[in-house]
Amino acid sequence: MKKLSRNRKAVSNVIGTILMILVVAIGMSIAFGYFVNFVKDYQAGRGSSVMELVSIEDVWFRFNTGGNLTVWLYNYGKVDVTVSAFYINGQSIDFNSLTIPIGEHMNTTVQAINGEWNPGATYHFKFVTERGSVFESDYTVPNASG
Amino acid sequence: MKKLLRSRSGTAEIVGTVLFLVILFFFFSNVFLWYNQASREIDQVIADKTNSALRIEAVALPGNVTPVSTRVAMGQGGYEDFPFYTGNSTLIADIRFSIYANFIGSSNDSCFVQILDHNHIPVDTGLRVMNGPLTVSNMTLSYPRSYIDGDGNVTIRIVDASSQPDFLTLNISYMAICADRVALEVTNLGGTDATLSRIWIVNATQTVDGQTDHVYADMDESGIASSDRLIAGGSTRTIMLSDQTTLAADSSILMTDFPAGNLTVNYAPPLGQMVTFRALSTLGNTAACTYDFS
Repeated sequence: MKKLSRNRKAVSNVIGTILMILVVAIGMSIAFGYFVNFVKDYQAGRGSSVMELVSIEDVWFRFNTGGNLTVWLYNYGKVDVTVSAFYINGQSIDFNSLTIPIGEHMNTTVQAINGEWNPGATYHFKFVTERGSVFESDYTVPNASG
Repeated sequence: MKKLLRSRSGTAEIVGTVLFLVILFFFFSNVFLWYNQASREIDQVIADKTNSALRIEAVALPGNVTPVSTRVAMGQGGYEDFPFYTGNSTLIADIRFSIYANFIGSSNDSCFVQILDHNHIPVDTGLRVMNGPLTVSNMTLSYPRSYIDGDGNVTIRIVDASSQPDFLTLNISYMAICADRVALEVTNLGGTDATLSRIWIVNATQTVDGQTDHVYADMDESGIASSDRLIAGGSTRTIMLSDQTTLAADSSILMTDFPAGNLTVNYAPPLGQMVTFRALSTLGNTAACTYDFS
């Protein structure tokens, strides 16, 4: 045993191998961690967009409150939805993002384009979620308040 | 071949590469399987939605009938009024009149059957009670609200048109007014069960208080049992309207479910308005109908 421990031959090979194993283990751990986080982010983010379903349940063009518009949204998908952008006829509307939990209804009130709605005109509504899902439909302004 | 198998050079690289591929395969298959499962779940939701389309209609449900059965002594030019209580006129879809009566007198004697309008002005129905029996079943009267007075009564007046001054007998075996009430019928057109989430009530006519032109009745907020919100595939659920509007804690319209299974939206539609009713299911299906309460 004494003889073996005093033998200095091939020490550099052993240390080299251990170092190599350490480097590989650390590298793989970093790669593993990155990949796990990447998958987690994907599943929580863009990947979950397939599970987003939102119904525009009511649109209220309001004439007697300075041309406000109140829209009710209903989340009937499998994940919470955060609506981050709202476009009317392709024009971005000043809008606070809205988080709708699963199975819940939420509403938002925004100002009309140019401050008023044209009775009989049809507007194209487009909601975009944080995950990139798009929900859109056309709505016609009634001739009276309604 | 033997030589190739005995050679140990490059073995580590092969083993390492295989292990690396296994790890990659593990991750990618994990992502793929998760995505596949998510897609399947949402496909099922969309399939259920497609198979549970809704239809909503405003219908007339038969109201309560309190028939009259009597014998009345009539004199020349005299009349007898028979009031029938119908309730809130706004919710009356139509009025049906039924009578089985005869006038005991000479063969030429007759009585006019009139109906009083809401100002108590008699309107001739065109019916005559004569010596032989008059049988009319469920004669529908147009413009029901024009016949309902401020107390919620419809009054039938029978006028003696005989030429004889003597008292004659009017024999009414059966006379009734049936006021059919407006109700909503929600039908599940598909084969998959649908569960109602909300009933939206949109006043299509401008009102002074525009804040209540768009209101909804929320089944959750009203505490409606899930079994009473369910509409089985191909079946219909009736929702009644109330004589008065009652609000829930969140200012939505309250719904009641008493007795169990009898859904009522506590919303009294304003007279003279066009109202759109829209049903929303938990799967995001909607259906709408409009009724004119003028």
